[in-house]
Amino acid sequence: MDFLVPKLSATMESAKVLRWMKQPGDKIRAGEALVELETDKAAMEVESPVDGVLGAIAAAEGADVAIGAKLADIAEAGGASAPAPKPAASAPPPPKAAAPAPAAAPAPPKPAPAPAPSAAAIPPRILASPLARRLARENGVDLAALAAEKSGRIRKADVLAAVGRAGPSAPVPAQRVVPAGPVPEGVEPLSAMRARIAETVTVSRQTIPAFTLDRFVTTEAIARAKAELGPAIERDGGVGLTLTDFFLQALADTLSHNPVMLQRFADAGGRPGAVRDATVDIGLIVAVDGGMMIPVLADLGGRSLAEIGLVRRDATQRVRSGRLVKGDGAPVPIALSNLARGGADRFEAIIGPGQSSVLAVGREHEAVVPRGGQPAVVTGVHLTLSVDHRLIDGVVGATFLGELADRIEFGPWRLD
Amino acid sequence: MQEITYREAILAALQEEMRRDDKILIMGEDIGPSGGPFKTCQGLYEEFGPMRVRDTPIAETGFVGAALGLAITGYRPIAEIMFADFLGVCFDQVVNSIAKHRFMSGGKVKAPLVIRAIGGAGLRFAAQHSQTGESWFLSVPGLTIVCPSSPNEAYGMLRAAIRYDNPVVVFEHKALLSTKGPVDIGGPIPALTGPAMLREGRDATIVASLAMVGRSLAAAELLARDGIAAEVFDIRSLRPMVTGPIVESVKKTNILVAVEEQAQVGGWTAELAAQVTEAAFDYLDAPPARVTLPDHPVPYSPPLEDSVIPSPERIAATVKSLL
Amino acid sequence: MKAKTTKAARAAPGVKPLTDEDRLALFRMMVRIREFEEEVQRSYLEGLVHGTTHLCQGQEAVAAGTGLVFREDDYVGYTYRGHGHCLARGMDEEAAFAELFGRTTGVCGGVGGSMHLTDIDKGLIGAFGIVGGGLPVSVGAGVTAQMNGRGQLSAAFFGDGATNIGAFHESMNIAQVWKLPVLFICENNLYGEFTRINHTTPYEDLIKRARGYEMNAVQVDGNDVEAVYNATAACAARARAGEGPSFIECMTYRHRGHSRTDPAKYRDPKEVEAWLARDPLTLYEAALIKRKLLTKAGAEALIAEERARQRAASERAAAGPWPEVGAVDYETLTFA
Repeated sequence: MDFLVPKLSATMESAKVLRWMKQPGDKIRAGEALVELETDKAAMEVESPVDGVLGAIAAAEGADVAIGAKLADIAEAGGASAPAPKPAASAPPPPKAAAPAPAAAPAPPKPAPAPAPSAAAIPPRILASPLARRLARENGVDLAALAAEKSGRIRKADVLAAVGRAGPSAPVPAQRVVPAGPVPEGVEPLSAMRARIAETVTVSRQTIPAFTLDRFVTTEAIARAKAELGPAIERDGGVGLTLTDFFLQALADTLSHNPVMLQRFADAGGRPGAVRDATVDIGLIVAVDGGMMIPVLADLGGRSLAEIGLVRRDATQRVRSGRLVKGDGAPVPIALSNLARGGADRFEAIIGPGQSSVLAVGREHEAVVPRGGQPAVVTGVHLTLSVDHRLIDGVVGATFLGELADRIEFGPWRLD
Repeated sequence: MQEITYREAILAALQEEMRRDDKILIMGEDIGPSGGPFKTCQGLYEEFGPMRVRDTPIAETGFVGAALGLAITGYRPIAEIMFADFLGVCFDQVVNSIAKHRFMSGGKVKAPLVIRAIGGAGLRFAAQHSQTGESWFLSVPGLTIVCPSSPNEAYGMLRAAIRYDNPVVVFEHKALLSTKGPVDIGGPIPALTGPAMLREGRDATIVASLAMVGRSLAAAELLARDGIAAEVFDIRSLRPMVTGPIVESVKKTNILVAVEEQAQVGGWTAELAAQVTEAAFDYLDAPPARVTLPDHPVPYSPPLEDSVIPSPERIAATVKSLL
Repeated sequence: MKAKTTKAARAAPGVKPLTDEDRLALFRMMVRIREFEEEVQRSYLEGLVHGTTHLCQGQEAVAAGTGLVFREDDYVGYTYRGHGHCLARGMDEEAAFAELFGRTTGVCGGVGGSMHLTDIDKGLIGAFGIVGGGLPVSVGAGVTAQMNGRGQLSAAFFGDGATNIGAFHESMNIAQVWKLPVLFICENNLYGEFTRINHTTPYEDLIKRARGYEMNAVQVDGNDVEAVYNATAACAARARAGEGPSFIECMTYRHRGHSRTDPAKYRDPKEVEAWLARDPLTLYEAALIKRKLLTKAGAEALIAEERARQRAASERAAAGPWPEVGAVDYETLTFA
């Protein structure tokens, strides 16, 4: 039979043959030491498994042997049945336990100085709390812009200020993160934007006493002006004019002429008050995926069509790619909601908190109106102006709407 | 509800349970005719006799290990450790035998035992007799660790622990022994584990254990005067540490302050901070903060000892610094 | 060193004398333990037993002799060198092998291993790997025995090294003060791990320790299985009668090293040879042959039978299933 190298310890992988205590031809007995092997742990004697005679030695003194390698032949004594060597132990499916690590050297009393990372290795980072980052992401606030004007870590309050739709004194619904309780089956919580819109319109309806004024205006003059002036402006000014741009200019000029419409209701130390803006800022209601946003078109008074077009386009793109700027949170007196390409003849928009009016533009369609006593077919839109009655009465609103209608129907349009 | 002290609440729980089940016995130093050095066992010896109320020699390894032997052979022993600091003496029995015997046996033995350890600072007992010990066994699976912060908790948690079929270490606080509070005697057995919200708020979440709970509630009062509404939790159990309600609170307040009466490194507040950060990362407006003992043993001299224990003022100031 | 048996240890009154059947049973149990340990050794060399294991060849008389005294409802606690005590108590050998091999069919489901064989249904309250760690637990079982009041006892096995650790002293003291029915059975094999007793202990006769606790104590030749039986039976009778604990020092020797990886080169070869010549199995075989209870051929046949039995049990165990990683219910293993 074969006399094999046994596994003498858990960590043993191989051994060295140190010394043969018996020579080929020697009689041997079961349990008698035949050879001394050196393992990773110690020198150990290996005994003969059977009675018999030692045969040829396969691993001489000094040889390195692996577990299970043949050390020598043994001729078993007749009669005594030697136990057949067991089949190799099945490899356990569980992963082998890592060999225990050598004992750690005792810790030095002072920690070794950690090598300072090179300045180049650490990329620049905007410092913002995890909450601030999330709120900025959800509300389209540009953290980089915020970081540019604030030193230290950007926090929730900073982001909310940027997002805030109202002035400091208007009732702003607190930006609350609703604690998540169990959601009833079939109900899906609103997205952050939707939830904010929901809150805003609710507060508006509940706190702003609005009334509406309505006027149908023809848009044929705009169509003519667009055809005449549009190509040149596109070529020279780099922007394609839209209906909105014409409305905006008409609105801006009418506002300049009617400064009472530039007021916003505000709290004067517990009493009703008003703030009057110096510049003509108009909010543009832009539809986005899942909701709407209202970027601010600032200082439109006296601007040319091309300038207005550029501002309008820039704001729309900004919003659609989620990059609001700080100015987009500034309060405005009026917003414009243009649904001329929509399906409703007329609609009443909701005044945003901090604003005092909003102009809704309905579907551009053909209508029959009296002209010089005769019916005429014209193209136009319904304008529906909602105003905050605390500041704007019927006469003021009607006068404003009338002037606006005249500008829209008759121009003139400023090109510079 | 009865208005009784923490000490009386412990005694009430022991009496009730020992009357209910004669397999329950209690062992500890001086707990027999003397009623215990903190009088938590007053009258038990007279009522239940020397077989069930056993005065032990000063030999924590001996009688805590014996508790395991009793528990695996059909009894439900309670071992009172006079000062939680002495858990150092029987640490081997707790960590290597009590926590592991069921596991090593392949789930075949059951070890329903309770170790009650009375610890904590504030009474001028100096460094070796003032530790709460509450975080020492935090990394030992197999143990259940609970911390009653009030008389009602002391009563309820002890009953729950005694009825639980696995080893429980109950950390009691010596500075709370004489404090009074409403206790629901005979009421339903509360959950052994899981936190309790003691004060609702919206501006910060404060989590504390043992005597730090009362101080955190006092801190919340101070903060309220400045218009800051803190939400205060008693963590109640350190193993298992149940963080769900605390995470929901932090999602609401965005601020976490955890308070424990142990040194900061390796304390349960560090574990809580890690778990809350993992679960509520996007809701944190500031890093989680910990208010703890400083990194040296508890000093003896009264002004020194008082200065190292987190005060309501220090807790409130920490909250403010994060807002 | 001469092994001696104190007067108190020899057949005491009130002790049920051994019958011939008992004697043959004692011999068979010693052979069974020897063959089990030899089979464990062979299995270890083939990589079936993992980590390490601690064998008790040479100490079989203690396990067998005491085992015959214990009742079914007695509690027995032992150390990491406890295979012999488990077998003496009737632990199933295949389940024991399977435990050492790490299989789910092991007596502890494969999660305990050689050092933690436990079988509470047979009163085997557990093996503890911390030297002396099991003694307080056995004291606790002794309190149970006292409370139950039906004459149970709690036996704690430990080695000479354990008499130096705090847990031993606390346990002896509590047991004596509370008059618990505990048998502290010390297998004095002269070595605490790799260090001889004279380097760690002020004296070699550990019975002196017991005298410090005013505890009833006996010293026996641990390789004389009948002496072990008689001494243990006498002390057990005292315990059952409520007369308190006893310390039983069994002078013995282990044939192999401390653990499987220890070649035990630290022992004086003359000492080893002298003890090997007093192999408890050889001694008792001769004694039984002298009593005409056994013949040489009969003894050889019995040994061959036990050897085959252990071989078969280990082969069956080696075919046992491995635990499935990811399918182990750790929650239930840890908590009731």
